[in-house]
Amino acid sequence: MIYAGATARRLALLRIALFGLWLIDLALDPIDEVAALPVAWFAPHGPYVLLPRAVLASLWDARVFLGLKLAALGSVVLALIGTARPRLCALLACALLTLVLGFVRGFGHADHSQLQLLFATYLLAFLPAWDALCVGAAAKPAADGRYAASFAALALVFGFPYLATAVYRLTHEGWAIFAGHTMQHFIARDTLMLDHFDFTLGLALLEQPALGPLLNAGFAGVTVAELAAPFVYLRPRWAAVWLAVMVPFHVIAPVIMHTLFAHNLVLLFVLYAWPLTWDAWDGGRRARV
Amino acid sequence: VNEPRPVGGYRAPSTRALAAACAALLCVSLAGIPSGLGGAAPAVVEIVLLLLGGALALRAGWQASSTSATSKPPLRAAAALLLLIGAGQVAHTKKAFPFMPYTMYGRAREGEAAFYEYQALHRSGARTRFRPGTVFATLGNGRIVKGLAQRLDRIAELEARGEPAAQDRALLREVCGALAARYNRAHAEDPLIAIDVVHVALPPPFRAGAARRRVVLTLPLESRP
Repeated sequence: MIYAGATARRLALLRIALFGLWLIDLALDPIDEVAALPVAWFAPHGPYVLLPRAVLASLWDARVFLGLKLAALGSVVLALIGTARPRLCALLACALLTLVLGFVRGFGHADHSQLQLLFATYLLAFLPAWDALCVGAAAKPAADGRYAASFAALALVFGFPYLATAVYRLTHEGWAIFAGHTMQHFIARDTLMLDHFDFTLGLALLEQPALGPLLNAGFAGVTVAELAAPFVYLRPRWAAVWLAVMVPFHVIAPVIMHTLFAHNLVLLFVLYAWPLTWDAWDGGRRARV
Repeated sequence: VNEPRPVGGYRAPSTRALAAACAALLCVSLAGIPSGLGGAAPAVVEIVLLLLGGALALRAGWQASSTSATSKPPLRAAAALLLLIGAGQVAHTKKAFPFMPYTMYGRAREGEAAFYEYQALHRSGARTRFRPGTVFATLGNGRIVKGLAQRLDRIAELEARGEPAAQDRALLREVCGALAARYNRAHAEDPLIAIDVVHVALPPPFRAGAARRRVVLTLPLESRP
């Protein structure tokens, strides 16, 4: 497994990376602005389903939304730096992040971006991620398999949604989904409909009929990689080949389909690419000693 | 050494047996689940594959990292989360956020790609494409545009059935008004005064020039301060 070199410090660095990503994400997200939209437009998801409509209407104010964002930011900072009771801060951050993400999904389409990062953050709250690099008193780092097992648990939780996606695709459509015009249809529709990017490179690709089979082959290849996602950390070679498929996929998808999973790119780096370098790093250190 | 030991007379399936069952079901799925098995068969196979895949992944993780008792709690926590993610997949509703179903790019598509475009009329008489997904940074990623499309589809359905759609139209007008007001705050020199909602149909092989456009709704905007 690629996590044999996991240590308390490395798990703590992962904690800092994940909460750091949330910090940037929240800081750049002006959720308070959406108070300009009518409350009647809001379709509750997750915890908001439990909130009576009248209560929601009474809370529909930019200051309330800003307060939610600032509370989430505060809890993320506390979990990141590891003050007293860091696990409690992490659980609070998880709850507030769920409220923020559930809120912004109430205005139309409930997308999946950020969700694998959210699941990894949920899990982090139950891992020994505060055994090093804490502002407060850290627990004494142990010299056993708990850190490697923690990385493996994170890889499982990150990889399982990919598996679920591929299983749905294969069980409901079979091979046919890779044989027809489906991929071209998705590229055309999403390039034109998802309007947060102002370019249409996907349509330029569709002007070249010879690329059709290549697009279908790429779709099938990514589906195989998605099926393998919860297992690839078990062997360094599997992880390297998997990264060679998934990183280009997540880079190309926004260019030709306007579908951006930026958080997953960061997770691919911290959960797979970075651990693949540990052997070389530790070997170099031993040689210097 | 790492294969499960029998518990109370029950012996859990071996890793090899789990992997073989997964591979067999994947092969059946790839070939296409026979329609004679009933409409629910794909969903049943999906659930079985998720259970087997999850069990296999956990087993592999357990075998790879259970060198001491302290390795177990992280994997137990992961198992609980996998169960919740799997339950969300089975529940198949986005109301179960954050445990929503993963169905992206999961259904085959034939025929034309259809979507809505928004054409803005400015006070100067200029016409530009209005991009609702860029007005509120929070609502990119298709959040607002897909919400608008769902509402427009609903209005079209209601009207096709001869049912009143005034309430949906009013809400759509209010949301577009709020989006335009926000846009106009940053573009006061030439604000929007109306938005045309255009239904676009693009037939295969999806050449941009072949798109058919039809204005389905014109939304005059109130002048807001």
